[in-house]
Amino acid sequence: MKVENLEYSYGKIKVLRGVSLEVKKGSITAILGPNGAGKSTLVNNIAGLLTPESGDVYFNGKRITHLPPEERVRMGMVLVPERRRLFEHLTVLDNLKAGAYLNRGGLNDALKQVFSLFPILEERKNQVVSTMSGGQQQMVAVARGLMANPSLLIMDEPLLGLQPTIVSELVKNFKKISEMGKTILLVEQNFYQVAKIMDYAYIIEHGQIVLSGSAQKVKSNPKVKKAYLGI
Amino acid sequence: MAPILRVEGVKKRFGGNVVLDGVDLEVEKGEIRGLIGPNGAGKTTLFNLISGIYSIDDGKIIFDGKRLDKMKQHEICRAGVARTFQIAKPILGMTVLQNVISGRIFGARQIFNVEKATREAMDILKFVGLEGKASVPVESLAIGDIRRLEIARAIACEPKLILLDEVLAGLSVQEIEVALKFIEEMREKFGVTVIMVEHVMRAVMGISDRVSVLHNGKIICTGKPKEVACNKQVIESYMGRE
Repeated sequence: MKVENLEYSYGKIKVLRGVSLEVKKGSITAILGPNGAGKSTLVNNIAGLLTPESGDVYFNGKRITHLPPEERVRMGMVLVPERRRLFEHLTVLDNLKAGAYLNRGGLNDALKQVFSLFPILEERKNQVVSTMSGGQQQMVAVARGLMANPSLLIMDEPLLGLQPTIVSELVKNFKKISEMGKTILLVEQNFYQVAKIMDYAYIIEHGQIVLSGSAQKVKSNPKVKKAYLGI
Repeated sequence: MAPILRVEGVKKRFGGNVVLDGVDLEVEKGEIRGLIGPNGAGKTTLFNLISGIYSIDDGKIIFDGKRLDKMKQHEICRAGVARTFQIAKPILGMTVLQNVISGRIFGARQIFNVEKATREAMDILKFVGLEGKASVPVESLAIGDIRRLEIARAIACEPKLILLDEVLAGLSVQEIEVALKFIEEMREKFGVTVIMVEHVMRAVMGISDRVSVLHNGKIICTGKPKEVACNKQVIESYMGRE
């Protein structure tokens, strides 16, 4: 996946100011930065929920800038949205089935896969999602994303508002998903947790990429703290 | 020196959701104070309580010796507190100048002399650099000018304390530089105390005398920008746990 010179504004307010980045196949790539930097706007442009003012999005070599979101899902790009957006009044199983809408042939295999990844979801498959804890709901959201059998899984703030213990458990699961051969694009504020598993990182501040490179290189760069805290 | 604004144990809940859980804050006269914190920390809610848009559930807000939390919005404005809004709220259907005049007429020093109010409103527009657009309808302004107008309208009320809610949002790096200089000039020229809620960290850390961090409904840290940026709790609230 590749993004070139993306620009986006909400009305008169410019949020993305020429963002370019690349997600290498098989990698865990992170987009990190403080709130208000433009992270969610960026992923929503990548996933097709927003259409950029200018610039382009490429996926597997094809220009997809103006394709609707469902076409992108069909091509193997799936978004786990910020704040989960689950079907809260439905059961875990129904949510997972909905995720397999474009992968009906692979439904059973996909179920087996996500249940091995998140055994708690198999135990609770008949539970209504709204009665579950935040951490479990986030697992459902990630699992629903996997049900479409994506080659690229994009997750927008999957750690937001979760307890520290759940956060480290989820981070380990992301690593496992990567080992299953999926490419992962992880968008987060929580720098230190994501830094444990990422291969590449882009630091975004005020609608621009201010730093990018391998995990090693980014972790030791003082610019990261400056992007978050201004000093 | 006695603080010009004292917020004591202020609480606010919306339904079962406790947004402010005992906020204590003191701001000195003439200070530029940054108010930062993660999304949803309650920064705008605190502004809404100080300016009387919502009423507090518990605590006290004392400004210049007066209990603001017992006053109505227009009384708070006339007591000397003006604010801008994150989503700018100019009076639509009026020109830039008319917007500022209305602040002049109905603000702190109510000036029911339209000619005088107009003259003074024009001076304020000169100060914010909008005099060339005085007769333009507000609907056609670009974002930078809308922010200038927000500030002009606040200044028109002759405040002693001005609350700036994300006035830098959506501005380019160059526009932010201009805006920051302008905020400093405003403090000098009008002797006003400033509290600014801001997400553009470089800017707020650069301009503030002191910064307060709101997290989980409480002020977790107040200090000089450098001190705040080194505070462990602050780093954790922004970047996660190491």
